[in-house]
Amino acid sequence: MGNPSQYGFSTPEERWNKWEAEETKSNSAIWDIAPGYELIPEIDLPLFHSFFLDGTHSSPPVTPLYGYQWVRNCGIGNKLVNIKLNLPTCYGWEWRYKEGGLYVAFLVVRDEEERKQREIKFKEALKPYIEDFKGIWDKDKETLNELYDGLKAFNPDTATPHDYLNHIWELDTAYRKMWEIHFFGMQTSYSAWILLEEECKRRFDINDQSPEFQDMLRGFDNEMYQIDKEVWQLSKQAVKLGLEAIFKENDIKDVMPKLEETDNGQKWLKEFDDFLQIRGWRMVRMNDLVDPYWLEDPTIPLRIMQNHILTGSAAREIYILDEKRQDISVKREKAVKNMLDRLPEQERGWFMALINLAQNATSYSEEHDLFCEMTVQALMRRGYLAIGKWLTDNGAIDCPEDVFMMNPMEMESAVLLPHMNDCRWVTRRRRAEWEGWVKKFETEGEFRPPVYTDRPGGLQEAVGEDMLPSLDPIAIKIIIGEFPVDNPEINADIRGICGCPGIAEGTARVVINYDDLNKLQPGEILVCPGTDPSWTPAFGIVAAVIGDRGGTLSHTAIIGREYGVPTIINSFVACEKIKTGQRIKVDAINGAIYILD
Amino acid sequence: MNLDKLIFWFNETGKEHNDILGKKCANLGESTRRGLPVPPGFAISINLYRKFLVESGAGKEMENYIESLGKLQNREIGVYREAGKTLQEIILTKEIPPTLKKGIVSHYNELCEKIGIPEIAVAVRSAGTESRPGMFNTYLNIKGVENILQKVKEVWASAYTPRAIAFRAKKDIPALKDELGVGIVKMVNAKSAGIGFTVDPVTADDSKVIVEANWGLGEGVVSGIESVDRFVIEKETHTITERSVGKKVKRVVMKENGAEWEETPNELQSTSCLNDDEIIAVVNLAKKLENLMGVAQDIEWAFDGDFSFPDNLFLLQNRPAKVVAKKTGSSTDQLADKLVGSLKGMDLSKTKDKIKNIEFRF
Repeated sequence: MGNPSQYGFSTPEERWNKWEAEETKSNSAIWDIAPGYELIPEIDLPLFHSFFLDGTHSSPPVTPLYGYQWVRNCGIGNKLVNIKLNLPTCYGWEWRYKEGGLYVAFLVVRDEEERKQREIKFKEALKPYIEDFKGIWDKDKETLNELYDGLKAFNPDTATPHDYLNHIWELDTAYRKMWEIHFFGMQTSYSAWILLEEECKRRFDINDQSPEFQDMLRGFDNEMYQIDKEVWQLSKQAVKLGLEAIFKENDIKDVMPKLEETDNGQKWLKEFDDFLQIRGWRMVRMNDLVDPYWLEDPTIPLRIMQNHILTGSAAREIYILDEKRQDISVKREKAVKNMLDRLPEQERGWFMALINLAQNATSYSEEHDLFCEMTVQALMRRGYLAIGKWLTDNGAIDCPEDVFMMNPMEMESAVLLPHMNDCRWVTRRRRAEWEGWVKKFETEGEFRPPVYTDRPGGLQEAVGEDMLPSLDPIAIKIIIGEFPVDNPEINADIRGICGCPGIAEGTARVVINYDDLNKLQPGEILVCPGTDPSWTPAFGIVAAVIGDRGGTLSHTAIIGREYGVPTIINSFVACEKIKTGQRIKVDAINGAIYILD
Repeated sequence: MNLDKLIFWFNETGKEHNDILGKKCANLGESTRRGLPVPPGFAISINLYRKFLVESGAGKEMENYIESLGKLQNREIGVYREAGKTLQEIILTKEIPPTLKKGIVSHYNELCEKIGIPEIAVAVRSAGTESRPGMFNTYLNIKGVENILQKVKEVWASAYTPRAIAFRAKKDIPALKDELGVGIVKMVNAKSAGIGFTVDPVTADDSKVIVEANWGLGEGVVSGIESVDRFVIEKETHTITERSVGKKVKRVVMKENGAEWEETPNELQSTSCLNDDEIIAVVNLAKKLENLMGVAQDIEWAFDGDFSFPDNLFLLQNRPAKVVAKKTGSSTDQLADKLVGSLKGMDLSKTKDKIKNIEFRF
């Protein structure tokens, strides 16, 4: 044992700083937040060549805890699935964490002979999904629900140190299992979307941005939309009980106390609570743990209800999506029939199976967000915050939220005897670092390089050599998507690709953060970096949507189609070039945006 | 049959000569005999090659060399590379003995006379007895006696590229097998050319004909690296059910001493390189072959710019079509096949081109 006074009687932070300054050249000092999973170009690039920043899932920079969980478990889940499915072209993904960014490398299968061997196995693995995707996904949902029920059994109010320790491990396992299920559905159904697009392009010159294609794949209900509908029904119920004024006249944080004051208000609150107990395990933000979930902060769904009441949609007879879906379903049946009619008799069988699987890709893409990321992360937030509170109460960290600055190994080492484990030297330093990244991101925009690569041609060569050859359907459809094509005949100010066809003109509302979404007025055109499921209700009131990032299977495009709202995606620069208040025109089929002012 | 005959005009041969002329030439012969529009030419038999080996001494040298190498299976790539270099050099440095040379020269001169053009341009094609698509060399647009004799040797030598040697070693085929016949075929001055299938090689759907075409020579389609025009035609009704006109940025054209890739003129790039009459003429040709041969066909054809329609359509090559898919199978089977196939067929070059114009953030 070393002499405890060898560093003098300094604070833990001073001791760390001194140690780090002396040890920076050694490997042990390089790995801090996520040991083994932090990007060290000198070590990682010779092995993997190129790591791409996944901006979709790490903007703004994610916390150390979230980053740690993602790089470990998303990578493990993806690799496990690829081992079982034998995707011929990609072994799986390798993730790294750097400056709050999630970086991914695609492990490309480069040997032709091996690809051939994998093709045979992949083909067999696909068959059950072709025959009954929905049935498999239903079973997966049951598995996930059972897993979550286990996590819900953890009671923060009565937990012992032993329970905290177990819960850390339970959360790890659940999160990893979630990723595995997540990728089974995604790898199998997204391939179908891509093949359908290829076939339609080759045979009929129809791509996945054209109405004939998109009409075949929309108009499906799923549990995500069910929740949106229940929220709408609750707002309708509030109007029916005569509570309209309370919603209209009060600031959102005062609505619940005001409701408590009346009988009908209490009656409504009871219904609301029933709803929350079942549906409230839903994160607002998909990609971190720092924002609350609905059950934790009921004003989140409450605000959506308030919007329904303010915009008059609570007065509708039929739920907007149900109404749209009727038309869209009829259109869909027609579009599918038209497509099959164009095909020779003997090809219709497999083509119908292909359309079915691609339709599942759309529904799955939406519904899995709820069953996978949003629910497990709500439970992670609850569990980690409880542990954070326990650590705070015993002086190990400054506040419960500081638990997001720790990794699970650090938690497990501190959780049994927190009064003996002062972790503030870790959490304060990391918080300062993380807040620095977030601030930089907010003031300067993306400061992290889009790729770390040892390819001499930089990003382009990296994409050409290390991403595209993976032929990974998820990488291609979500992480990159199609690029806008320059077409000089259409003299647009900004170009993107079509998420849902249609033309609209209106006032632009640029919304960067979810918090600003409630400024959106009916009839405006929403201009944003991209949307996630919490943004869905906005689609019910806008004239059009422009999302700077996302492919034809991104949330923005899928919801645009379900609501039948003209939608442009992958426009890259709309948030920069368009100012709130400007009149703009959207011609979605042509991917064209015109600034009229 | 005259066993001593070493060179055959195409109208003198047929399927029965597979083993002495190689499949490609025997098929061209069969086609000529049956009145198919094959460009005129002649076949240099494998026996002539063997005579060359014996009389020039090359055969003995090659045998001795191969024996000195020992067993070739599972050797490192350097061994094959070295063996290829040595064997090819043995062939290329030998003169073709005068009697053999005389036979080839007299046939070529007679060909020129028949067509009425001196030093007529020909294709010098390899013809093996086993089908090894793409493995052996073919030379296009060769003119003059000396050049032709040189290319004949180069075709023979192409049986001994390191790749061919490694291939045979892997399959346990003797290293000196794959002796090649050579076809000397009048060069078609192709304005457009391509392939035709009387069965969809992927789905096994035999109710249509698939035609792929590009401007210029057929190599612009067969090599599979350029975007081309594609047509699908109902075999019965001749209805064109699919028509995709590719952006044909490059084409293969005849240059002074061989064929070369060149940029296609802008105005032609996105124009269909066949009109409907021409498409149907190709379909009729493919169907005629299928009927004659009794099995689905994979043909190469070209329209000769020096003649006028319909006499300008030539059949360059035909063989039984290889079909990947089984004809029957459940929808699940078929879709699984397609999903796997899509990973192979995805056109990365297009996506790569797009990247160049985009500054993107992940």
